[in-house]
Amino acid sequence: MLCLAPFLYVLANSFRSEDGVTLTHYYTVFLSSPKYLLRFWLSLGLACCIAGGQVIVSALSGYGFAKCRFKGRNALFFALTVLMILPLQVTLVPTYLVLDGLALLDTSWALILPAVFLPLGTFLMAQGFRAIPDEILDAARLDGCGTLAILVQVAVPMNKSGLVCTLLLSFLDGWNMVEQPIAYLKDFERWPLSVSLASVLPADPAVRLVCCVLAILPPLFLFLYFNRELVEGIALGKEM
Amino acid sequence: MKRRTLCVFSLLAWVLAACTMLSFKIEEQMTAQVVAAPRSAYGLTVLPMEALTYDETGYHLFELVEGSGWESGPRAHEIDGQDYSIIDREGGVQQVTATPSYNAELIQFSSHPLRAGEPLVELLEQETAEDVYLVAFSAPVPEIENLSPSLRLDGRTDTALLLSVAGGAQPFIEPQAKTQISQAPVLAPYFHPMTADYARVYSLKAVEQFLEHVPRLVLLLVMLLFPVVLWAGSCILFRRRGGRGLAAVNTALAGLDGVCMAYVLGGVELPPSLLPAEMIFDAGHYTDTFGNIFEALMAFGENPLAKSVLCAAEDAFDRAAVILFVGLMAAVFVVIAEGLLCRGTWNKQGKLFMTAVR
Repeated sequence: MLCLAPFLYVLANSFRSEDGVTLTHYYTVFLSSPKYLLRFWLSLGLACCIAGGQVIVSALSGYGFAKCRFKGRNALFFALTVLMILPLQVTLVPTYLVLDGLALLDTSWALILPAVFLPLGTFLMAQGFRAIPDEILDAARLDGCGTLAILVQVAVPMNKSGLVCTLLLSFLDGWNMVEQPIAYLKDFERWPLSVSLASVLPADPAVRLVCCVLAILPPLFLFLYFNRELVEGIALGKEM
Repeated sequence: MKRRTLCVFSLLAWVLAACTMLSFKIEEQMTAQVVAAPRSAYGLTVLPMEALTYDETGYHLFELVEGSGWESGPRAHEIDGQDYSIIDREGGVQQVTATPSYNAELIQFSSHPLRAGEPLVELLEQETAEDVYLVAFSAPVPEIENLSPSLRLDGRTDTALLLSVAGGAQPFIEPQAKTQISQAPVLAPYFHPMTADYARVYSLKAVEQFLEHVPRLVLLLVMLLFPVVLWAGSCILFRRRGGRGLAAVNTALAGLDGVCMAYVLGGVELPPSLLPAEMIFDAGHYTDTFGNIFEALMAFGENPLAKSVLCAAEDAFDRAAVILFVGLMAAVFVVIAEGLLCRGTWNKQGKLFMTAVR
């Protein structure tokens, strides 16, 4: 109940006004102007690009770390783990300088590209792929599958829970990002919902609550849809 | 769990997509259209009394300023009461004198009573067209003298007047029309901001324009409900053989419906004078406004101007009823047809199975 209390508070007060229960605030956010919904779709597009990109990159790199033998693999994986535990604020300025050099500042790529190559997804996928027995992959190789075919048709379906975890975490990362838009984007129009919500006028507290309800929807959908895989992934992590 | 989640959130996704499309049009329609007062070389601007609005908190006068951030674009900013004054001129006429802020323009007329911070569209040039004004009084109509030369009295009842105007400003803005009509001194007290409800002025051209859009609005409603009916059918048929394929077909149909809806929405142009000030779905406002208009028009009996509007209203509502009926029946028909198709496939499978056992 304590965990649910903030959500229930948001939901209850989004319907409340001085005159009692009303849908006026929902009209304000959903119908009176497209600005809130356009931010929602912009944020959704960004988060989907980040999640999709990170899943692809993580699957490829995770498989490489787990199943391929190459010189410096362990050292590189260790460096990846160290990068993973560094706080965002440490890499904010170097990333800004790189984006400035690439002339990507004040564009959506400034948010997408750094998030796609975050190390957490690679770490999760590598852990998942390590659990796959080598004999299965050898059998697939004997059947004539190349490396990419083994990855796509054998390894990834067997590591579904790891894939879902990576997808969920990268989506949430993209959906909730705050520092990166403030640092990399000057144009207010490009700010996603997570940042621009903070600038909704204080005179509209109920409108802000309705925007919170709007912002809850995509993560809620993902958690409900991938609930089973998420629990399996957590259980698999426990066993390891 | 997955199926139920997909069912609920697919409907939510449609609602959000539809709301996004609708919100563009609603914002465009509900944005107040204003006529700014020309800047005076001496800084002091003279405005008609119709530039003021009056409510329980007193008089309000607004100016047009540029907003920023979430509130970007032209916005209404209320002028402090100490920065304007009401003066009496000859013949009992009252006017407002005010000084606008730097880089702001005083708002002379607006399509509806403004609120501070409200987005605005400034009408830089207004077209003119023949129009008929319906002036509905809440008290018996006084004897009209010294009507403006641009107006012609075409009909009169105990509580309403029909005035034809050769060059009526378009779009119609009620305070602007009141300024024109109140040149007849006997009518000026009825159009004072403090007594704004004593007489309302409606444009019959605007009423006809609204009525022309009623079938289109009902078509929009049908197009909004059509995917909901398909969604309900998909959720029911999802478990059956071939149900997933039909769900995909329904998704495509909903997408096509969305595209058509955007096209229909693009053609909607409602007259701002007949729209509510705050919420476009304010049913009470439409009931009151059109109730007043039709009640006043019916009192004119066989007057051709009044009769043509009443006939247009009847025609519009008849067409709307037909569109509503046909649209909803089409949606139900599609779902029933899909249900029969699913059942036929299942039965086919059952028959094949039984053949193999024999």
